Amino acid sequence: MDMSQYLNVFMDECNEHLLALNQSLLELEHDPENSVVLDRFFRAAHTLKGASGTMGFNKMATLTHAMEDVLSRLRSKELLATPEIINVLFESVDLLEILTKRISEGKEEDIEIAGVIQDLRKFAEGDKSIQSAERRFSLQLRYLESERQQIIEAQPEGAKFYHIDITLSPGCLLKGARVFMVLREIEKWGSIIRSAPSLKELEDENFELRFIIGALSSNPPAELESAVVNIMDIDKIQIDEVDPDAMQIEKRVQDFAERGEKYKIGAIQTVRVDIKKLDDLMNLVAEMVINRSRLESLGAHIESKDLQDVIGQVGRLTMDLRDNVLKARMVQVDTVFSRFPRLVRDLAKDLNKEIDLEIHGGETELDRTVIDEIADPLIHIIRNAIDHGIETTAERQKVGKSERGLLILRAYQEGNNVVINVSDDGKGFDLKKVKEKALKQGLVNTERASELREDEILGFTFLPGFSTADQVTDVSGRGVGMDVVKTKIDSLGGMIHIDSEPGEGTTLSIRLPLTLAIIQTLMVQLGKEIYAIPSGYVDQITSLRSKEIKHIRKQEVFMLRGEVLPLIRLQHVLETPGAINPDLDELDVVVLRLGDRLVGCVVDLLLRQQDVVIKSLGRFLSSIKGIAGATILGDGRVALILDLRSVA
Amino acid sequence: MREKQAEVQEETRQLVIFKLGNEEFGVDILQAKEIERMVHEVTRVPRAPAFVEGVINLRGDIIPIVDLRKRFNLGNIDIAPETRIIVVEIEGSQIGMVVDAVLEVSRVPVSAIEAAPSITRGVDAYFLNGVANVSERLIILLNLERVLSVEEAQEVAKITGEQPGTEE
Repeated sequence: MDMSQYLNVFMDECNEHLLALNQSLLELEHDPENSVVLDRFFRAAHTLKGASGTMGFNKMATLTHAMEDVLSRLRSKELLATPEIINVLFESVDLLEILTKRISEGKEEDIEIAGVIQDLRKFAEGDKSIQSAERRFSLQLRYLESERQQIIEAQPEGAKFYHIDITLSPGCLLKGARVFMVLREIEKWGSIIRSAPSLKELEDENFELRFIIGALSSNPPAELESAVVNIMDIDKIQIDEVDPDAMQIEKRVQDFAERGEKYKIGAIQTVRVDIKKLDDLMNLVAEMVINRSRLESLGAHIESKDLQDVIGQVGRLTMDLRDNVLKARMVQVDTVFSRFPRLVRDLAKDLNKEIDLEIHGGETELDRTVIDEIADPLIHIIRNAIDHGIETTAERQKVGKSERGLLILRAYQEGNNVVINVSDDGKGFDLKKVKEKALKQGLVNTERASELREDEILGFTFLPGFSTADQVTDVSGRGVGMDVVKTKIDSLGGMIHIDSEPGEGTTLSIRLPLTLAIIQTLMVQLGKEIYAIPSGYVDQITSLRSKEIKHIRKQEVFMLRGEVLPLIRLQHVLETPGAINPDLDELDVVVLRLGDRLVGCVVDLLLRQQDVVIKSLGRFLSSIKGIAGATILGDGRVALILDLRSVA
Repeated sequence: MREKQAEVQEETRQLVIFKLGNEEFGVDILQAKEIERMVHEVTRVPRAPAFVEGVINLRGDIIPIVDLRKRFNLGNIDIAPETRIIVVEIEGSQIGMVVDAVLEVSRVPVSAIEAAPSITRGVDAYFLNGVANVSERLIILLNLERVLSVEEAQEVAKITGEQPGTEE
């Protein structure tokens, strides 16, 4: 069967359970006897075992099975969760993560799991580690009630029921062929009811050396025995008569029913939906929003109270619908945050620091597309904070801080944005050192350096190749990173800001749009054209008298809050014909924050603030710089959404 | 066997035939999605290649519009009542082509299609799939993948983007 269509669902599940495993382990580390956590861990491992087994990922199934064995001994209190056991379990979870990743790349096979398995077995079985294989493959024949009836009915006719237990010799090469010959002999002698492993598995050579056949026959067993021992590679054969009343009856159906009962309540509450379907839904809603505005403008010309009522009603419904679809795409930031306790623990251990992590606002929601992108930048920031920010215990004692460092992750919503802060109580940025480094790398000249503001100095840390770490560590300091973080945040339409107090700590603040599907924009007019500027880039709106414009070389500039800013006529960037602003005395200026710099953009007219649905220009026009996409206005016209970072 | 022969004899291609200047062009009907009048307001796209007229809103989809005359340097199109937009699908994305008029949809026997000479009525053979000779009419078959290739457009965009058209 082709499993590929289930692979995505499987991967999602894996990641979910891996999270649960990691979380439970962290809790266990502090509270080794907490049976609730143990149960949760066990369930996650168990579910993973089942899922990976079904998908045919045997290594993962074997590994989770071994974990489960240890877990069941922990649960039954035969074993206490010592640090050694916890560490081996951590290792196993890491290995599971690697396996998951490998499976998504389609190559489970090249991962070695034997070492960890052995460690796990040591705990699971005490000294009897070698027997484990035997025990796991212990064979049992179970029958359906109907099969037992068949056997009982055959008895008056002189037939008896036997278990034929056969072991092949260890060197046997053609197991399948030998099985085939054995089965042929048995069929000549009687009729086969069941086998363990199943006949299918036997055919596929999917068994160790031993197998058991349950067969019904009226011939003496010795006859069969003499026929079978003549077959090559048969090590052992043992035939036992079995009383039908003593047969093990399979409870598969009932088991299933019981399990179904148990999970019924939980299962209905969520539905997995392909994000593409939500995107499609979003597009449809966007159409409706646009048509609603058209309906309103058409309705304005017709005097009918009923019509107005309906239009009003449709309008409200449309907006509710839009909000709900947007909400459906939202995911709690906890899905990202929940990975961090483990990350912080490991890094702190590696670096010999003691660090507490506090997480606030994990329930804050963000669009799924943003969530997916934000994890890597956050990991990077946390690494930096732990490596460079927070001092070692000894250093902290020396300056009179508490021994344990504190890292706080905080998320909250602010208007149409979500803010994520990562704060540490470490040593903070050494502004002098940053400035020296910037001078050394020629990023600024001595003259200018002396008048730099604090936030300008900290801004250097976002430049490619910039690192203040004296030593390159395993964790960070190679100078790649903060610039990548910034690029990523920029591409999401977000902003990042550093606050640092020497000796007190550092806070990195990331501001992200709630969703990438709808953005708030400022509509401006230029000639006859209308453009949307994402509000995220707008620092402020101001007006300017044309005589206040100064020139530096050929560049127009103006003063804002005592700063000299370049002034750009948007029509030059956009090659727009018919712009009227050169003739105006009073100019509307949109001050844009493009990266670290502020730029004034002259437009003809400021129209309004408007939430717009972003649409792609399609592949054909995707490479055009300065245009982030398009949106459809209420009158059906298309307005382009500007991204002036690369052109202004 | 007989059936197969009949099929071979009747093998035809169904083409949308349109006018560009004084020439007749054809595209396969399977590639043409819609034919629209020029009633849509076209939004100019800054920094796009010159033959890109802009984008339109076609029932909620944003579709780029190219001027085929400009693409082949056949002069500018005068918008007339006969002017049409043929929306075609290329490599999964839709593009609208402005043409002077759509004449007909007709079946052309494959046997009537020949390879195009290196330059046919001002159009480079690189952009053509051949020419069809149908009852004394010459229909030029466009290779839309090449005419409207993303790479080509990007190439053009790069060149125009590098031109110092703006005051820095």
